[in-house]
Amino acid sequence: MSLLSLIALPLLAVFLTPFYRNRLPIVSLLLSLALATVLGILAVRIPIVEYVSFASPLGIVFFLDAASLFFAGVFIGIMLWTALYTLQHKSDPACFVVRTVFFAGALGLVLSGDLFNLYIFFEIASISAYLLTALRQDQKGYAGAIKYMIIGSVASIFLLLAAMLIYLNIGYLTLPAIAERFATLPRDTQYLILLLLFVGFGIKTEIFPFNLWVADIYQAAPTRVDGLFSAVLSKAYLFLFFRLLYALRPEPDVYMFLMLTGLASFAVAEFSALTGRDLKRIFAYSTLGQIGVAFLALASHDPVVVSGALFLIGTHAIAKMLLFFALAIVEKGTGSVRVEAFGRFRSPFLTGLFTLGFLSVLGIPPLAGFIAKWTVFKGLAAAGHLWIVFAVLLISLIEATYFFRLLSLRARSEKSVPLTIPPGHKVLLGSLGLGLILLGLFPGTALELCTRAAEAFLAGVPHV
Amino acid sequence: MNLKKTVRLQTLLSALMVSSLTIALLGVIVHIVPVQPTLGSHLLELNRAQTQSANAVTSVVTYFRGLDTLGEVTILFLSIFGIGIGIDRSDRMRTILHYDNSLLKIGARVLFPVMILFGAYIILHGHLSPGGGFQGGVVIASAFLLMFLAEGDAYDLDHRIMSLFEALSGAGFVLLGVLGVILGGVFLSNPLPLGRLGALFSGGAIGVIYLFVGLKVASEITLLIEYFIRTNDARDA
Amino acid sequence: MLETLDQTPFIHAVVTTGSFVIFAIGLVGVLSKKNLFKIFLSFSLMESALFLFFIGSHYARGKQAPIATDAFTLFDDRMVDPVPQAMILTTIVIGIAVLALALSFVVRYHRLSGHIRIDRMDELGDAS
Repeated sequence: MSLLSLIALPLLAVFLTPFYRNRLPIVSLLLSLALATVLGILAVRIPIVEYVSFASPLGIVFFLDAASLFFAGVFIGIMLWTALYTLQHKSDPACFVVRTVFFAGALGLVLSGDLFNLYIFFEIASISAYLLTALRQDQKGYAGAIKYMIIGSVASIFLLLAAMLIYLNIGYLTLPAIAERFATLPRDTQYLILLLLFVGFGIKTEIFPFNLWVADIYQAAPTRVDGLFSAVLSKAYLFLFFRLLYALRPEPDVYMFLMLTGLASFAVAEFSALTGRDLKRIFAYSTLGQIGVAFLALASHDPVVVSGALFLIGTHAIAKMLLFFALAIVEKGTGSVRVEAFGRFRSPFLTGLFTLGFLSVLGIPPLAGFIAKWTVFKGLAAAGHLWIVFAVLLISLIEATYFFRLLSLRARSEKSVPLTIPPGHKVLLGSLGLGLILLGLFPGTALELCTRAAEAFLAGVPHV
Repeated sequence: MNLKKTVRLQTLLSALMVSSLTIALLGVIVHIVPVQPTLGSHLLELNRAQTQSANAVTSVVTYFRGLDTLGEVTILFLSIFGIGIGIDRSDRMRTILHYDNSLLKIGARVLFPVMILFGAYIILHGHLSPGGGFQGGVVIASAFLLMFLAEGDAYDLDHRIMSLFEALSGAGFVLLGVLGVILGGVFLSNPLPLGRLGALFSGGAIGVIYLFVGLKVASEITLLIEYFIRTNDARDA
Repeated sequence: MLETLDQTPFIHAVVTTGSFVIFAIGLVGVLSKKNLFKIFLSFSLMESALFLFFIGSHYARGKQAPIATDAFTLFDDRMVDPVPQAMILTTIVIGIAVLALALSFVVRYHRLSGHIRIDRMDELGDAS
C-alpha cells in the first residue's frame, strides 16, 4: 500500500469527474472512506519513508510518522464528516472538485518531505482556497478572493526565494538533506532564509502581523468553507512551518521570538473580536486567537506543551467546524450574519451546540478545550514560562467577554425565526458536540496519541 | 500633450523602502556561489543508465521529479476549472474578438495544421531536443488562438471533446503512476522499456508522460483563451 | 578587458543585481499601484525576476545545456545543472495558472462592481 495513494486517489477522482458528474456526493463519501481505510492500514507501519519515482534518497520522499499521521487523521476525518454532511445536497462539480483538491493539497503538505514538492502542494492548497473563497460568485466573494490572492502571492514569492536560496547554498531539496547541512551555512544566509520562511509561512499560518486580511476573507467566503479554513488550512501550514523549523534547529532566541509572536497574535485577535459586529468576523478572530496560542505552544519546543498544542489543534478543529456549520444554518434561516441575528433564531438544539463550542474554545471544563489548554499551561509553567501562562489567562478573559455576550443574546432576546434542521445534519452536528464532551471527560487515549505525535514532531524529519 | 507624471507619496515611500531592503538583500545574496555537488549533478550521472533520454531536463521533469509535474498539471487543471465555474449563457453569447481580414482568414487556414504539427513535434521530441509537453502544448493552443482571431464566432470548439481530453490525460498521468507502483514498486517509476538514447522511442514512460502533459496543457490553454477572448467590444471587460 | 567581463563571477554579479532590481520594481508596483490588473502584473514581474536569478546563478562559463548532442554525449559536470531548469519550468506554469485565475476574478469583479481599483474595494470590513 503506497503512501502516495492518499494523494493519487483524490486526484484521480477529480480528473474523472465528467464521468460521474451526477453522483458526486456518493463519490465524495466513497473517496473519504477509501482514504480513511488506507490511512488505517498505513498507520500500523509507522514510521514510513517512501520514495517517489526511483528508490533513492535523491528522489522525492514522503513521510508518515506519528506527527503527520495525527494531522492526516484529523484532515481525513473532517473530509469524511463533510462528505456525510453534503450527502443529501445536489451534485455540484465545482464544489466537489475544489473541495477534494483542497484536501489532497492539505494531505500533500503534511506528507511530503521534499522542499520543492512542498512548494507545489503549497500552491495547490492555496489555489483551492482562493476558489473556495469565491465559490458563491458574488461581489463580496470575488473581493475577498482577490485580496486573498494578492497576499497569497506575496507568501508564494517569499517561499520560492527561500527554496531557491536553499538549493543554491545546500544543493539538495529533500528535508533530511537540508536539515543536515543547514547549520554549515554562513550566519547571515541562515537568518535570511529563516526570515523569508517566517514571512511566507507567517502569512499562511495567519499570525500577527500578517493576518490583518484574514477576517475579510472569512467574511467573503461561504460560511461552511470558513469551517474548513479554520480546521484544515491554517493547521496544515502550522504543521509544515514547525516541521521545517524543528528540522533546521535554529538558536533558542528564534524560538523565543516566535513564542512572543504567537502571544501577540492571540492578544491582537481577541481585542479585535471585541468590537466585531459580524459573526463570521468574530469567529474568524477567535480562530486567529487560537492559532496564536497553538503557535506559541509549538514554538516553546517543549514535549508536554507541544502535545498540548496538538490536542488543541484537534479539538479546535472540531469546535470550529461545529460553530461555522451551525452558523451557516442560522445564516440560511435568518438571512444575516450580523450579531443581532444571533438572537433571532429559535432552536434549543443549536443554542446548546453553540454553547458547547464556545465553552470548548474558551477552555472551560469538562470540555475538550480545557484539557488542551491545561496541558499547555502545565508544560509552560514547568518549562519556566509562568508569565506567559498568566498573559494567556488574562487575554482569555476578553475571549470570555464576547462569547458570553453572544450567549446572553440567546438568553434574553425574542427568538422569532424557527429553524428546521434536517435530521442527518442534526446527527452530524450533535456528534461533533458529543466529541467535545467525550474528549473532555476521557482524554486518555487522545492525549497519549498527541504525546507520541509530539515526540515524533520534535525529533525533526526521519532519516533516509 | 502633458507628459509630466505626478508621483504619489505612497509610491515614493515604498520605492525608498524597497530599495533599501533590496540593497541589504543583495549584500547577502551576491556572495552566494552555487555549491557542488548538487542534486542535479547526481541526477545527471544517473540519467543515461536510468532513462536513456537525451534531454536531462526532460528526464528530471517527467521522471526524477515526476510528482512535481503531476502537481503542476493539477494546478493548471484547477485554475482553468475555476475560471470555468460560473460561465453561463450570457458569457457564451458575447462575441469572440476577431479581425475581418481576408489575408488573416486564408493564412490561418494554411497555418493551422502546420502549427498543430509543429506543436506535436515539440511534444513528441521532448526527450531528444529542447521542448516537451508544456512548450508543445502552448504552441498547439496558439494555433487555436489564431483560428479564433481569424474566424471569430464561426469557430466553435466542442467542449465535450475538450473535457474528455482533459479528463483522460490527467487520469492517464495518475494511472501511469499507479502502474509504476504495480510494476516497479515505486509511484511513478518508469515501467516501460527504455530503448536506446537518441532514438524516438526511448526514455520509457517519459515520452508517454510528456504526451499526456502536452495534451492536457493544449486543452487547458485553449479553454483559457476561449474564456478570455469573448468581449462585447474591444474596450469592454 | 572583454575577457574579464566574460568571467563567471562577473556574470553572476550582473545577473543577480539585475534580477533583484527587476524584483524591486515589481515589489514597488505591488505596494503602490491601485489598479488590480497592474498589481497582478507586478507579481508576474517579481516571479520572472526570481526565475532569471535562479537560472543565471547556475550558469558558469563554458558549460553546456544538459542535452546530449553530437558534440556532447557525456552527462557530467560540463553540463549545467538540470534541476533548477526543471523547477523553473514548473513554476512558470504555476505562475501562469495563478495569474489567469486572478485576472478572471478581476474581470468578474469588474462586471459586478464597475471598477478595478483596490482602494475602492469596500464590501468587506466591519462597517458593512
